[in-house]
Amino acid sequence: MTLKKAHECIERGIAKAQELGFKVAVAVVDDAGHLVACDRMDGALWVTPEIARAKANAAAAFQASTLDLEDRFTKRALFAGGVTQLGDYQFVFGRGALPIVEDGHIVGAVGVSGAVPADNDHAIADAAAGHPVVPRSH
Amino acid sequence: MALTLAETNHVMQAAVDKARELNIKISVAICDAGGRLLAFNRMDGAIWGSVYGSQGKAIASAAFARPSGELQERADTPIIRGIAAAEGGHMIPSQGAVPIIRNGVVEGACGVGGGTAQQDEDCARAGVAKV
Repeated sequence: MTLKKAHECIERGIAKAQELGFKVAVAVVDDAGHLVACDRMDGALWVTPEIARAKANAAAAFQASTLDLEDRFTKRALFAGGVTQLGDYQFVFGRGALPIVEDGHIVGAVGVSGAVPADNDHAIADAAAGHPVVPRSH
Repeated sequence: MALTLAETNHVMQAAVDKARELNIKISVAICDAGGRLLAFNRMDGAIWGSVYGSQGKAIASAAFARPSGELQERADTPIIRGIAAAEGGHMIPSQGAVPIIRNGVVEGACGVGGGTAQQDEDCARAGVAKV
């Protein structure tokens, strides 16, 4: 993950948010879940960067979109609850984050928060990540 | 007037430019007056610890409306430790962040990590000079 790539993701995400009429935060993390870049649009809630980062963290950790994780973990609430309390990783499994894929490899993830209902977060994150084809991780 | 994202990213760019001039790799975190993140950049090759250092210093600087380096000497006193604990443990009262003050009002702070403490502060000051 490079800062340049992260900026490109954020630009695409903000363009999509503007097109849909939402004020969001877009956060890009590396494959270890550490923040690379984040922008909060004017008027977006202050909590949105934290949620965006936590969603991106989940997408990076599980190498899957949080749309997929939401579906998987809804059926396994006990497991998901346990995972969110591991250490201080601050996972959020709600839709709105996708892995960033380069040459078939996951190099990081992008998370979005602020576009309610969260299907819009997913659409913005998908645009930000460049509509990636996510390799199966499990 | 609260900082806009456009203003924030001017600060960001100036801080990163200063780091390039100093030939160091840094993370830059810019928060609002409440210590909440507005924008963040980690330069390629910056240590990942700087992700957390830069944010922690920015929060401390916004909370106390002064350069975080001025808190360093008192970092171990009950009052600074108590405030940091009560806030939730996000603050780092060490050199490397400066507040963004406009017309006498604190509007946020710029925190930097990845260089020496003095280099971090120099980058933060270069950024904040743009406001």
